[in-house]
Amino acid sequence: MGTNRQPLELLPGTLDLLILKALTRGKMHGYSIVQMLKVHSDEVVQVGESSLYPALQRLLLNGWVAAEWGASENNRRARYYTLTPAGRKQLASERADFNRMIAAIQKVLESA
Amino acid sequence: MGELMGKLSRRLLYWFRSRQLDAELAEEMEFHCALAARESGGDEGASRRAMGNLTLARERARGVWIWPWLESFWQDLAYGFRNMQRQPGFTAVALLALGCAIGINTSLFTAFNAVALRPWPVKDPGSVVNINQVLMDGPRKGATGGFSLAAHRYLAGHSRALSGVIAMGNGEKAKLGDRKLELTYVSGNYFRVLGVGMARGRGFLEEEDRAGAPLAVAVISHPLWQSQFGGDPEIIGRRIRLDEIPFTVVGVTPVDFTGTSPARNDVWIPFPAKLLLRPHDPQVMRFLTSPDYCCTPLAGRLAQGFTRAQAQAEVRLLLDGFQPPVEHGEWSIVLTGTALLEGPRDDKTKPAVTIVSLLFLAVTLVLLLACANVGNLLLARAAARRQEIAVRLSLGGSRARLIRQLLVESMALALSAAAIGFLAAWFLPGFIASRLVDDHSFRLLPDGRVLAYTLALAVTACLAFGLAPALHGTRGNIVGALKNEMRLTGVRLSLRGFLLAAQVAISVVLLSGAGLLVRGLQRAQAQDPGFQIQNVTVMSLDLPASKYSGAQTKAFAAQLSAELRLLEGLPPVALSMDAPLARSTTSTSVQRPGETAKRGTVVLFHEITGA
Repeated sequence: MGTNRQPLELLPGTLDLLILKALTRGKMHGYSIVQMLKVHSDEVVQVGESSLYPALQRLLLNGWVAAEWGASENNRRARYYTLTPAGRKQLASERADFNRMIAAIQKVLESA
Repeated sequence: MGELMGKLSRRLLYWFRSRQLDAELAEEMEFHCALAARESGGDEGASRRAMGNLTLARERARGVWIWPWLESFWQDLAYGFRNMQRQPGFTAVALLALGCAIGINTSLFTAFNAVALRPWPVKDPGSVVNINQVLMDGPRKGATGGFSLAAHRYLAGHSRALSGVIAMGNGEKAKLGDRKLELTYVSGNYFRVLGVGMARGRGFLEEEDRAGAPLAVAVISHPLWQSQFGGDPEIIGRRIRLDEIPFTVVGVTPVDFTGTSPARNDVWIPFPAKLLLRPHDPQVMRFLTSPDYCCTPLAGRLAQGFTRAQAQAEVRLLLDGFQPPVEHGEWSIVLTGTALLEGPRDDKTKPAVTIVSLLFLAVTLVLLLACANVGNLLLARAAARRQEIAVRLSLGGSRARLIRQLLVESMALALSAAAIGFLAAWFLPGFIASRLVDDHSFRLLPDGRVLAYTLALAVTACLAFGLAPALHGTRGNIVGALKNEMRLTGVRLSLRGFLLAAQVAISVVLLSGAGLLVRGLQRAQAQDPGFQIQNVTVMSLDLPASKYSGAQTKAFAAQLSAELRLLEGLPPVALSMDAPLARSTTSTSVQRPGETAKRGTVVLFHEITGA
């Protein structure tokens, strides 16, 4: 119907999961996280600042990511995020939960 | 639990560094915007619109840290206060117990704060130091002594680390009409160095402090001005008669300046005016001028840029040539703050410290008693609230969240009790003191320190009476509670038993302590002092020094006792410097031949007549 051009709303709770997953590749600043999610989802996942930064702060508060300042590619100061061991554990458990939930939803949808 | 602590500590860290962290967040988002703008072809405005409201986004990101926490805390507190209103009986009993306990605690601390912790009520009290001469060894180690006025003059003239040095002597009295006033002799620079802004008139001038030319001038205290002279606006220049000697009032101290000695201060006069009040005493001139005289306390104000240690070293050096006090031993000069607790520990303050510690122990026990009491009440209430708690637990409320809510409810109770206690601290210390003593100079009112102490008490009390019931009430069998089975489990019984036992134990300790105190007083009254106290009457003579010399006083006493002896039916008369069992004592130290002064023994002596 032509609506697939519009970015989709993320399922609630999945942004944290996607950010944690993105950070498994190494340290990244906020903008590169957005870019990466966009590229790897064929432009379906488009995250705005107003949801990205609260999510990052939440992850910091829970101790799942750590932040440090460094120089960006074009030599500006940027804050880089890395995954902490606790974050890695959280990613694994959230991912397992997510898989179970998706499988369950699929099962229900196909049962009819 | 560990995870919870980590989160809490990160949250606290955020509180302390919020300004910096906010700035970092702003910078980070600026950076994001700039990159996005480059991507979309340099139009920063367009990308900014695409990104939505930047400030709002920042607010939301920041809100992650504090807002939910603060909001739920506030909700819990409001809920706690509503709960208190809903159960007026429980609230009244709990508040009465806790309010009384916190009230007496806070009142005691208010008095302790006013007496021992607060420095002199002067301008910039932190830079004013007492100059103490302290005995470093021997049987009276820790005793303090003063200096001669000659030493004061030398020090005031030569010290660079102290911008001003003052001398003051108190404990003297003078009569104004029928009223006995507390007299404080001070050096001419006293009010200037301390920075006391006069309510009326002025402080003393340098020329009023010349040993050779005594001037009859006086500064009176604000309370004396109000009570004796009705706040007379024309008080400056008025003549008042101290021990029948006319003095001119030159100033009135402000209401918040209560003097630099623990005793009440009514009148200040310059040292040389002692010559006018004691014209027959040949010692006074020596006291004013001779360097081998002792015992006047000195204090000074640190000059800009000098530390207390530097000033101490300098004063030691400057006063090296002056005679130490009569008592032998090794004396050293120590500079301390003007709060009583900071001063050197001598024989007078040591027993006071013990007594105050015991008092604090007693009121702490009373507080614990109240906490155990309220804790037991809460436990009983938790039993009644089991259903509510069980419903919340079964709906998915976390136990930590429930415990927090119960604790915040206890906090509401503790804070209300603390408010009552703080109120008590405004009235109680002053009221009790006015019944016991009226010659002190302390302002027995709470200040910021007392407020902090009260809040700390409230938090401690809240944990003491609230934690165990909160942990306890959220535990256990949900299903049973939902079915409204009001069985008392064994665990609860043991906790209640423990609280009860604690209450009984503390009560027994307090009661026996009070009993011992009363018995001790009774014993002291019945004790045999070793002489006959029946039919002995003590009479004290108070002859104005302005009229009687030492010889005249002796002659008067001798004549008086001679005439009393002649009277029919009167028992014998004897004279003594200090009345038997009176509090005043005179002491000296004695040595056996060949013994060094350090090893000598201190003896108390009484001057008496042979009869």
